[in-house]
Amino acid sequence: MSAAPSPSSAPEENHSGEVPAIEVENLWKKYGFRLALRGVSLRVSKGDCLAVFGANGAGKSTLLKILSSRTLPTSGKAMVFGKDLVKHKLEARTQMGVVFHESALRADLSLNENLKFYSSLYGLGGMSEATRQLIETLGLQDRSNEPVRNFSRGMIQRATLIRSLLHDPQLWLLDEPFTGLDPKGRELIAQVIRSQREQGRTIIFITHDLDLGLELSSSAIALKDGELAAQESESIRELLLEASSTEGGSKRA
Amino acid sequence: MNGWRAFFSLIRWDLAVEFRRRETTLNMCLFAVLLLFIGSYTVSQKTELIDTFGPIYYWIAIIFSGTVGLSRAFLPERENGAMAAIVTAPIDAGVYYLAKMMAVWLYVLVMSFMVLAAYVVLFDFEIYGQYSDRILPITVVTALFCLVYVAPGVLLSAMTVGLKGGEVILRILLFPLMIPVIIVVLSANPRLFTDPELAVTYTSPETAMATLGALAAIYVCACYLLFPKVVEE
Amino acid sequence: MKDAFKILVATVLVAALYMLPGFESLGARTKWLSGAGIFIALCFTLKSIPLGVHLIVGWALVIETLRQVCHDVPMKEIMLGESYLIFYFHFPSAITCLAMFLMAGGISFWQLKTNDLKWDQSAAACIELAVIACSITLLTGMTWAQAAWGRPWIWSDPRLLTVAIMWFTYMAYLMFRMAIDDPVKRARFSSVLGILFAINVPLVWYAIRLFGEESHPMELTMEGTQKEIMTYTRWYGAGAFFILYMALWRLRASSMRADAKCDQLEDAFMRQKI
Repeated sequence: MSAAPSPSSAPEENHSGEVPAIEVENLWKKYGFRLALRGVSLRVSKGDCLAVFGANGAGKSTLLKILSSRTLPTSGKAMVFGKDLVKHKLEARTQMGVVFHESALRADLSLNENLKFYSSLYGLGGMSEATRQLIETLGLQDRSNEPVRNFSRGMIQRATLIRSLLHDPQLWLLDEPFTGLDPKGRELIAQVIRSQREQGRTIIFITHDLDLGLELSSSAIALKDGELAAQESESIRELLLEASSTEGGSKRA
Repeated sequence: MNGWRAFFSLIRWDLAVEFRRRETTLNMCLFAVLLLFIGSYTVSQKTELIDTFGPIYYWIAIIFSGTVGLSRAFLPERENGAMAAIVTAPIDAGVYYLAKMMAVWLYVLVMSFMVLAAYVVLFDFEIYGQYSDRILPITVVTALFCLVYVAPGVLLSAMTVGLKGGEVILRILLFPLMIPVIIVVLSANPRLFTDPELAVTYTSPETAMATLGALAAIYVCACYLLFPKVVEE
Repeated sequence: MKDAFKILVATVLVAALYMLPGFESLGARTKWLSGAGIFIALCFTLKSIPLGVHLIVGWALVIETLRQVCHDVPMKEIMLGESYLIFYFHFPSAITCLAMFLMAGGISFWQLKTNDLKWDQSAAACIELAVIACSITLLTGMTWAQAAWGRPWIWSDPRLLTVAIMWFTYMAYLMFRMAIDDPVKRARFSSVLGILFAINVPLVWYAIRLFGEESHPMELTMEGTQKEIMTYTRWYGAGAFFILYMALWRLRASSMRADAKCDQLEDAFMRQKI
């Protein structure tokens, strides 16, 4: 049964009849004997910004891996803009941009060369104006011809964002984009997310930072042991605090 | 078609990265020439030994140094998780395999060219004089040999790249697969490298080429189909 | 009930094939195909017998082969004398090892298709047993070579060479399995390797036949009435060994399943602790 996530801020309009950005029904993922996802159902409308919370090992990364078509679900249905991720994988991929834990930039090439490489993989002729503007906005245009191995962590994170938005994807997936950044770097990423959200991109991001995540998103869910455990901000907060007290550590990234 | 563009782009940027660092190709060439050097010393003055063992050292140099290149084939992508991004791009994983295979084949061909040059010098193989008509057969057979060698090598490299002791395991896995190829080229050695009158009953270069071509086709097709299973999670 | 039915079907199939008029006059290809058919029927039949019974039957058949070797078969062969008797252990081991390697290739393919770990365990157990059979083939082959040629290893027997190469190939497979901890990744990679190596087996065989050095395969010289009893014992031994190895395979696969179950429970326990 699909559950529409309830908003943590103003409620979204009901776009009935429009193809939802993400439609996940009864998704199960089994790694050998371990169940990473158990019957997760989710629906995200176009233009939504969804924050995914959960303790380590709850299945957040697995969910993102399935949505980004990096891995196939064991059973269940996952559709991105109406395209089934199992049958129409390649088509669905053209509409998704993913930010992984690692930058996915080739260290010996410069930022421009990396972008040229990934453009060709997505069938693009060259860099679009929007990408050039994004490079400027993020302050990387001066260093865009240097090898990426000389970049700092913050610069790499920004460059990764540019790489993932190269082909103007309708759906943007981010796996813990704030991890390992100082407050300034985090604010910069948050700004990018806000501006992309204003431009109407559908965004799903995983984070451990409860307050920042709730502030940036239009809706939020929390996973626990592979199941959808909470959808309202209060219950999410309780769940995360409970998880952190069992783990004996802080939940802030 | 996006497949072709992606294919050529993958090769082009692989070569660009390799051209910057040059580690892989240089290491391979140095190792190969070193092997030939040691080999040539062991057969030094005795011409009859050169006839028998020379060609064998030629193929050994190519195979052993080729594994150096193969074990480094996927290192640039693993460095920053680029492999995950390439695998989630809208291209067929098989296309990625073919592109990587072509790139590695090119590096190995460069190395085998060095090996041939070193062989001509160290083993006194008169490719400019007496054996000048052998240039083409030797080149083609070597190129095909490298192709048969690289095809499963790239697949095995993708499997062993992160493992502890992965480089050793790559070699242990690859060499049994190479045995049919080695048997074919060894049987063609006399007609390729030495006096034709002595060796009429051995395999002709044309037969060797045809067989290597068939083996290459088998391995490339099989690995093209199996590669998506290796990179998926 | 279903199992008994399967056994009945297999028996009828085997009996029917042998009772076909003119079976001996069929071409080699038809014989191979019918042999393969019987083989597959045998495998399915054996799977349904309880493991204990299977083991006992296997050992009984092997002991019966030993008895035949001791009593029924001619004691001396023309060229080799008494030492040729090791052939009755060499040949069944070789057949078993080749068959099991090819079966493992098929199971590996099935594992990739269904993504179920139990097929990986099955394939791994099959290859382990096949490597044992392979080792026995090589050891008995070397003994035979020592008796026949005076040297333990000869390069001119293509079949011995093929088995030796396969030994190296599948030992590499087992070493590879030891290097990976994650069971899912191990299953996937092993299956890919299993298929690749299964393709390699016929390639090696034909490469040696077509391009190898002159081949003098070690064969027995058989004459007249002796030929029948030798052929009979040879194939009887092959069947007996195969049935025994199948039983051992089932045993090993169930042991691997138990190991995996232990790992799974340990994993679940540790996660709860955290």
